[in-house]
Amino acid sequence: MESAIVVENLSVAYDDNVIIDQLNVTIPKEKITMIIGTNGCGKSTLLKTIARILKPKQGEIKLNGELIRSLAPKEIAQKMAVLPQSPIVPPGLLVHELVSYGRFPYQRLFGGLATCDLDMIEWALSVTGMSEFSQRPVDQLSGGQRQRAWIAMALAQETEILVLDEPTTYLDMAHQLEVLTLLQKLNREQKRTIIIVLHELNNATKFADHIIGLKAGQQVFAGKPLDVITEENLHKLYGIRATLQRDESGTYPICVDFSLDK
Amino acid sequence: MKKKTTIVMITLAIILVGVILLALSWGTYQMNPFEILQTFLGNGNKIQETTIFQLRLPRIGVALLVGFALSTAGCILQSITKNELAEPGIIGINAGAALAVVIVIATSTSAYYSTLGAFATYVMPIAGIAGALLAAIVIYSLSYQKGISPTRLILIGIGMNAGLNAIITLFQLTLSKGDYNQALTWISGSLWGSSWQFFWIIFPIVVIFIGWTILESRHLDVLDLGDELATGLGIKVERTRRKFLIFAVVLAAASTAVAGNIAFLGLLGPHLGRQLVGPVHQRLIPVAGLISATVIILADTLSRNIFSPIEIPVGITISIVGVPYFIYLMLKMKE
Repeated sequence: MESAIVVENLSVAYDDNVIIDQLNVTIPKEKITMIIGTNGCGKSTLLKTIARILKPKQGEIKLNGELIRSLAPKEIAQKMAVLPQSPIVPPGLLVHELVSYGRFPYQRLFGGLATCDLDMIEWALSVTGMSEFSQRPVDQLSGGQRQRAWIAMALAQETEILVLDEPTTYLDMAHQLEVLTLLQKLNREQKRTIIIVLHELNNATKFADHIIGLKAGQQVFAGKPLDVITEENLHKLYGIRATLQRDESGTYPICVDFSLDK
Repeated sequence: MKKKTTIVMITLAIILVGVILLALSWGTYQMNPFEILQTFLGNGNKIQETTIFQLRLPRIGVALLVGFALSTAGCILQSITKNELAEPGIIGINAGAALAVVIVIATSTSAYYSTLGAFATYVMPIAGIAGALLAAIVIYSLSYQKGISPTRLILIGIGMNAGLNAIITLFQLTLSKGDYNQALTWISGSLWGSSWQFFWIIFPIVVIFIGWTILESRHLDVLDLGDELATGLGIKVERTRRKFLIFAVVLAAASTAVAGNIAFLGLLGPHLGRQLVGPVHQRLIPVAGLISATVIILADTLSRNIFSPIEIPVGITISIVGVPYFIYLMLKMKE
């Protein structure tokens, strides 16, 4: 299995508060990887470090085998798009304009959007079903539409890797499914590597090819959902007693009930 | 959007030209549009020529540059602090420039503008920029803790503003009564005595830095999305923010050096502009500039004439409009 991102011996801390301590993680190429874990387990911190927003105290991150710190910011931006948890929307910004910002890493100082940029924007809008909203202000869209607009921006960035931090928060079940189905489609049809931090366990098992459980900045398990989502592992990760079943086709586990440890 | 922007720009330009005509004609010496035209064609009499070419036109020219400079500085500061209420007058940058210029006035001469030596006239903008930069460096380093927190930057800026104004007052108290009044007028923001000399001193600074800002305005657009997305799109956030902060400081300092401390102008233009053409800076900066220029020229014309022969500083006139607008913005932001 080829890997898109390799995290080696990584330590990250906010001042003296160590969040991640000597973590090793491998993200497989062209797969959907979900990172799960309790609040404060370091999953967002890991994502932010991969996205270069936080500087590691120690360790290395490799992108397609290259050290991330040896690459220029725009070079990385052409390989990896990052959607933070709750991005800011400047009031009045139109969907089309937002999506066009995804072309930033490709633009030169002079000149506006080239034809190929516009094509990519059109494509990103249509694949996310946002074409009809392209002239609407982003801040007037519903939560699900807004999330799709952000994903369209990340797609316009034309990267092989997509990193999303809880893209389904604040969405109802239908819209959660819609966003995850869209991401799955992008993975299946275009072979994009997708990395998602997710809270809903059942969504994670349903959509992940590879699932990583983090606890206190350490990897507890990693592998195919069917292999690693076991009652024992969930107890290790969350401290819960879970009851698991398989879906009808038997391809992924479902957590049907759970209770707190006595 | 493109079409709407064009319509907005043309409309604003027409209003600006109208206000400039008003500014040219209205004063102690009244001139009608026909006389103005004749004077421009070289057919005016001596009084008309002096009024237009030596008094009113340079003053309008300086006001135009100041309007554009402060508005652009406001756009930049609002972007890098992510706060719609940021502008150079509020966070102490203008005050830094003002203090430096007051020191120059106090030490170099006892007279005011017109008799100020050529040396001082050239030194003033430089002193202003140095003072503003110094203030900005202090604000920036005090608010720096592994990167800039926008809120901290603004709060420290407001504190600096109060502190600097106190020092300016201290300086004023050591001035003679005549100097005191003149310094007070200037600090309140005044275009009185604007000459071509002032215009040509700040013209290149304003044109270069506004041009540069518009050229790189995409960076400002991306910064608006927040540090995380901006980093993800390939921006070196801290370095970019520092560069634009310097642009804003230079623009604010240049205008403070010739027109004193004019508050709210950097707030009015960008905010109204955003309502008209949205937050994309390539459109916003010119539109906001047109609005701010119109406001300052109109306010200056009123300042010259309403209590004639007494002239109130244009900064005060703008504040009279600006303060209620600022409060309105604060109330609206709470929603």
